[in-house]
Amino acid sequence: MSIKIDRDLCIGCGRCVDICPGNLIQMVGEGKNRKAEMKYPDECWGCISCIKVCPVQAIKFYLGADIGGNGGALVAKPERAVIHWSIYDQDRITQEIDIDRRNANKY
Amino acid sequence: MEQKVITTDLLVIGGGTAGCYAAWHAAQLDPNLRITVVEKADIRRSGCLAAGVNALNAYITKGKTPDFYVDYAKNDAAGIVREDLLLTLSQRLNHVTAELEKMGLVILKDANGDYVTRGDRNLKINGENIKPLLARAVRKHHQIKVINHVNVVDYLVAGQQIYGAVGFSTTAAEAYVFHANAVIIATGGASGLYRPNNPGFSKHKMWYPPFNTGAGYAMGLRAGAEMTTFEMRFIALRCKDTIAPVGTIAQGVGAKQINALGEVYEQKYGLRTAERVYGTVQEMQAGRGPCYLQTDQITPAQEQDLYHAYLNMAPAQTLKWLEAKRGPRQQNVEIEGTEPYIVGGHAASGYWVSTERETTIHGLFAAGDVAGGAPQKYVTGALAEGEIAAEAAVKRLQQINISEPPVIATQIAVILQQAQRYLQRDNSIYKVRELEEAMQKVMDSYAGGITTHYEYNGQQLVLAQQKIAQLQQLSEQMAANDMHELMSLYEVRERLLICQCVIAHLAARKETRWHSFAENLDYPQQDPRFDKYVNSIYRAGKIQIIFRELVKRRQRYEHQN
Repeated sequence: MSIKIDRDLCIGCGRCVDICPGNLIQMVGEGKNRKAEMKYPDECWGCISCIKVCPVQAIKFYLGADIGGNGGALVAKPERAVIHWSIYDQDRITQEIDIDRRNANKY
Repeated sequence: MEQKVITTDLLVIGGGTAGCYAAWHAAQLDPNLRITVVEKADIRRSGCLAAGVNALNAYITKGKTPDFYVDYAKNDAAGIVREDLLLTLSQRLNHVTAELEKMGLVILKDANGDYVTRGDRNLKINGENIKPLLARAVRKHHQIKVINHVNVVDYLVAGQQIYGAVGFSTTAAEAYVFHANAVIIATGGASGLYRPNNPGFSKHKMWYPPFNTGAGYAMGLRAGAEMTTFEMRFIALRCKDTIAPVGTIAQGVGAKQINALGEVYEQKYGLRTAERVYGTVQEMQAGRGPCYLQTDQITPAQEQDLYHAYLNMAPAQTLKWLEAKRGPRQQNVEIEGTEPYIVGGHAASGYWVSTERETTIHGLFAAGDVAGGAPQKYVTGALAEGEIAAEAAVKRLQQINISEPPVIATQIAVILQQAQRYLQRDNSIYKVRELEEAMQKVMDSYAGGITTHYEYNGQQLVLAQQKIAQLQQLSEQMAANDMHELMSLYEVRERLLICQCVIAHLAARKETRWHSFAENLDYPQQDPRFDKYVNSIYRAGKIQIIFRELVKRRQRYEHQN
């Protein structure tokens, strides 16, 4: 269970570094090459705070093979009224779910 | 290392659920109060609520009373609770819920504008953003200064009076010295004491936040604070692998616990929290595993609703269903018990506090998961305790005027020198993570972990004590290459001390009061002679056990020291 940060998409804003409740992400490199890097992938709790705060959806969440991961991944894009979730199989989106932030869970 | 000195009236250590709310409430009480919140990560997403939460599980629903909630929590803990704490907390549950709604939390309402309840004590919410909402309320307040990314490692205490605390940045070479005449400790409970369900790559895929490593307990122990009920461990029943909550499925779509033969077994063992775990363990041991929540009969609409609900609190579960292309309708959800945790928000372990939530150290108040005696707090109970602690702390600040004795400066110097030694040492045989694994293995094998089905006996506990003591000695030789490693080092040091406390408490309660939570094979029955609290104080390197009589519901409990 962990995250992968896409270096090409990352704009180096550092928001994920600040928000991670485990202090697990660090900024690496200089100038234009200064990017966020997941320093401790096996210490991730899977809260996906970093994914929600990333302005360019450069971070994907996946399950480790030891807990049944099957090559899929999850990305969230929070907007004012909805959180837009995308489920990936490798690089292909297989399902999208919009959750209205103004609605409570039914359960 | 650069030294930053912060002088404040009220210091709140830990910016989670209880800490944020305590700081916010204290600011409402006194417009002149200067408040500092110090947090190991960032208050916007730190603590138990980082991923969100699916329901408010502590609420007094229509027709029910605070006493009803106390009765529920007391029964679930087989009588070992502080009823005075539970009652004062229950009386505020609905008030803090209303405050949360004002902060922006979405709570489900019916056509009449009344909250929709789930069972006798729960409300349905959209809790994805509950922590950012709390943090926003705190950050908006000009009286409150928030210091993120600082790990507090020790109190400054002299003559049973608190004067502040010392911490270290998790990123920069900076030490923080806090001077305050009142402190609220609101750090989390302790995970990572025992070997987890997924000990490999996904070792932190656990129920309780892996970053809650019990600093508040350990600092209290070192400062001589009295602790209570560390033998009442908490073990959660969870979805296998993802360790996601089961309540949403069990209560949401009415799924029953079944064994591999398809038999519903939950009635057989009882419905207390501990008994639900115990029943599952028993079925597995009898060869009738795996155990499941029976979801294969739910409707397609219910399945879609479950996908949504889990995205708002435990997205791993939704991902697991969708990437396997087998949802809960195709496959019953397998369940398992987690490793044991020490957590005062669910069990009763933590600081021994007065009814006003003052610890046995004057000026130090406790709220949330570090505060003992009041299980089943959940989110709203932690907020309620934050309020109570804030009120008592503000009252004390208005009454007292103390000045710091010279011995505090010496204490600060000792703490800073110790950190320097860890940072300057360049070779240590054992890495921090190796000692962590060793600790978890000892607790798993000898102090009732998953491996032994949560069971233990006296001989095993003696071995556990010796082996943890050996690791404590080794831990003094650890080295840290940077500030992040220094944080990890302290996290292991704290947990080793908490392990000692857990072991001593387990040995002292010579009965089995709660199945699985404290399954003592030498004493497999409940014993009325233990209708009392097991408390402890750490003195001269040893955990000393104290037995105390049960406190009554309407009693106002004050410390005698």
